[in-house]
Amino acid sequence: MSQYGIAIIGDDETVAGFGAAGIAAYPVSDSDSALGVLQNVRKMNYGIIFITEAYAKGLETLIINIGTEALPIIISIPGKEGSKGVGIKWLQKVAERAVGFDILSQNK
Amino acid sequence: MRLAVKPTRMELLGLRKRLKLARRGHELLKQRRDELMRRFLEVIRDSKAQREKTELLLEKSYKETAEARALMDESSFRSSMFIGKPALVDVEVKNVGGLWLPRITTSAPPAPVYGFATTPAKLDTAVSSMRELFPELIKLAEVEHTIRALASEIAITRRRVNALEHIMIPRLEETIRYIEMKMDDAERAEFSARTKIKEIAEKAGKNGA
Repeated sequence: MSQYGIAIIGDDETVAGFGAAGIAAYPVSDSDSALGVLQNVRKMNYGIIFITEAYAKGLETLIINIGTEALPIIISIPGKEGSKGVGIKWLQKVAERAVGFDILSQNK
Repeated sequence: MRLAVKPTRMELLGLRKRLKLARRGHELLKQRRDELMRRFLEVIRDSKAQREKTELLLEKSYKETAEARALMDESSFRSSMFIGKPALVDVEVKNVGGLWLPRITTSAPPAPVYGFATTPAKLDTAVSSMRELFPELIKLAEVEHTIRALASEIAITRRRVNALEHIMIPRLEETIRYIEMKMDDAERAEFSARTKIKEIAEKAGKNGA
């Protein structure tokens, strides 16, 4: 068992508040810098890295590639602009690929 | 498509063994796929519920943080948000049915230290909802990671099952049939050759006598 920190990457306004929960904030201003920061941050001792939906969008392939490794866990969460349903849509896609059809939206 | 092997008895015996193995492997992989699928279906609903719950709390937390921030000057907001010790999580990676899944345990993050007199009450609300959010975020990371791992394992297992079912097993069966046919042919050819030789020999014997 080992101990890891938690980080969040996103726009400054969104990430600032996470400091109150002890989550390390990495403010970025665009997807390119988000990519650079993610590349650096994932080599540090973080067990979970959150990234806001707005910036996660450009990084999907990278996230999928790293996502198969055990750690760090990279998860996208909505930013201050609110949820665009990216997380739920992603879940539906995963479910569809694994089961063969969309089980989540079917029995709503 | 037939495998490129010589139609000999040796090959036939080898192929029969391989076919048996392939069928057994197919059976086991199918069982594994079904078990993974069962677990996937178990977790996917939790995962969806956790996603929705966390996103609601996030929204609330953002709103409160923005309100508190609007009432404060930038530097005091930043210093209030800053806590000396970062939150730490214990991650134990456990092997569950051949899959490495993280189990995350954590204690409440250390509380930020700031003067209550100089900060607006809104800040306290914002901080406490952020701390309430914290365990939900951790849980979300854990379940979504589990779902990812299960989904990719299901995809791999399904590919293997299909490859055995639609390619490997039919090819082995076809090759085995081909060799059996070839060997039957050879046997018939030999039988008729032998009968012929026998006739000739008998004829020769009669003429000679």
